[in-house]
Amino acid sequence: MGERLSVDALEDLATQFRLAAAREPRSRQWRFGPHRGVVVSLAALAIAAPALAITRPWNPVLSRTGIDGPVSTDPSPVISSARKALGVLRRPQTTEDRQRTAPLVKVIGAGNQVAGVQTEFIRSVADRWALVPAKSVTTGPSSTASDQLCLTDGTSIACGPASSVGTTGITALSATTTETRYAGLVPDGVARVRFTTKTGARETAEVASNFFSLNVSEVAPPRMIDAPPGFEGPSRIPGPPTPVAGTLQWLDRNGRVIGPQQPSR
Amino acid sequence: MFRHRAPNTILRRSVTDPAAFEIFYRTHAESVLLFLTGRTLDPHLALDLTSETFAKAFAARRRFRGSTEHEAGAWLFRIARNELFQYARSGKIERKVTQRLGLSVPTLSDDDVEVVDRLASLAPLRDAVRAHFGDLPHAQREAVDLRVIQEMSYPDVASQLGVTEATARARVSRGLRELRERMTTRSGELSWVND
Repeated sequence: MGERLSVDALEDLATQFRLAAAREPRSRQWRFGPHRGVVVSLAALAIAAPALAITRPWNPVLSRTGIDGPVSTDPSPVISSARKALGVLRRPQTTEDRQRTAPLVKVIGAGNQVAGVQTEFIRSVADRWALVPAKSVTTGPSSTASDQLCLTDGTSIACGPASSVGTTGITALSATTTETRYAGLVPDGVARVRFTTKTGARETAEVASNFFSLNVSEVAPPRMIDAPPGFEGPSRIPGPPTPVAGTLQWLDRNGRVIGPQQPSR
Repeated sequence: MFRHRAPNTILRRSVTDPAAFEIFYRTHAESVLLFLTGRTLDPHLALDLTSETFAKAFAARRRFRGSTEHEAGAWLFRIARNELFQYARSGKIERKVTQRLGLSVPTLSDDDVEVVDRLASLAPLRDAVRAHFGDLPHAQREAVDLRVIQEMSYPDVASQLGVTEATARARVSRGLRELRERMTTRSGELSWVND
């Protein structure tokens, strides 16, 4: 939507005016083709028109019917430092964003932890992945974290602080019985990520829309846990699959390492 | 036969297509901010006034009767000057329409302040203020010194002076106006004093 303003706070206000405009009902207007004598500024509008974001408000379903409670939404923009770091947040939301993420974001209400979802900034970052900014996430019995960026694949959610996405990124880590799965957000300028396990195995993945996803065919040795009460068998059994430990690096398009080494698990 | 004239300015178009207001905003936002910064020497205050200026422009755009982009810009700057005048008179920042539209005034980061300072050429203006402010009445001189030269926040200025924040703002504002008049009389070379 036009050239970026040089002052971030003004850019912030631009987004707010866009949202305010979206809340206004559009009036009916006969539309005509170009008239003679129309000033040049209309031509500028015609050029800009294809880049205009969809403006009607969006109310996605953010909880599973009969399971989760309602999830609040928030019209304010994502904090400016995160928008500065992530190009995917600076581009307007599209119809495709809404269509692709609608089935995924129903899980956001799970556990009643996420509040103030900034729906205008939800983005489809990959097939079956949605970026969902939220004003707060409950992290403990009496603690909440504000201004979070969450990733969901429709079955689980991982969140991290929007304020540090430019320096540390946001990472979602999980494991099956046979592989470790890494997905996450990285700032502009990161073209690929490389994950190296402690055994030296390496996987790389391309970054698109500030998002990456990679799978490593390795998991950590299973941790033994106490068997549940009433279990007939050994008192100690293997616990759930654990991601393999390793290091994640960010690479630019020339292959230089530009990102901080992620702490290994 | 009914003839319909297509809107010939972005502002007029935004009456029926509110999304077009963002184009109008982006065209003028920096100019308005720098204009207000030049007159207040305060980027944070200028941003507040800029927000209310555009909020009022958005709410009142149906009343715009001009037919050129130049007239739309002039209309907007009249709103900005009025905001400045209201602030200088009352010492209070009005955010009525900003709040009514559900907007919140963002905070200027240190980087932003640096950009605005540079674009508005505030450093030479501050030097000019230093050179002339000894001529100000005591109460205004104190307030301008704390706010413009020492760059304290308004709450801190008010606390130092033992007055309300509104009084502190009014003293700074009157002091700057007084300075402007003195500097115009003496030298007239500072572009910011000439409207």
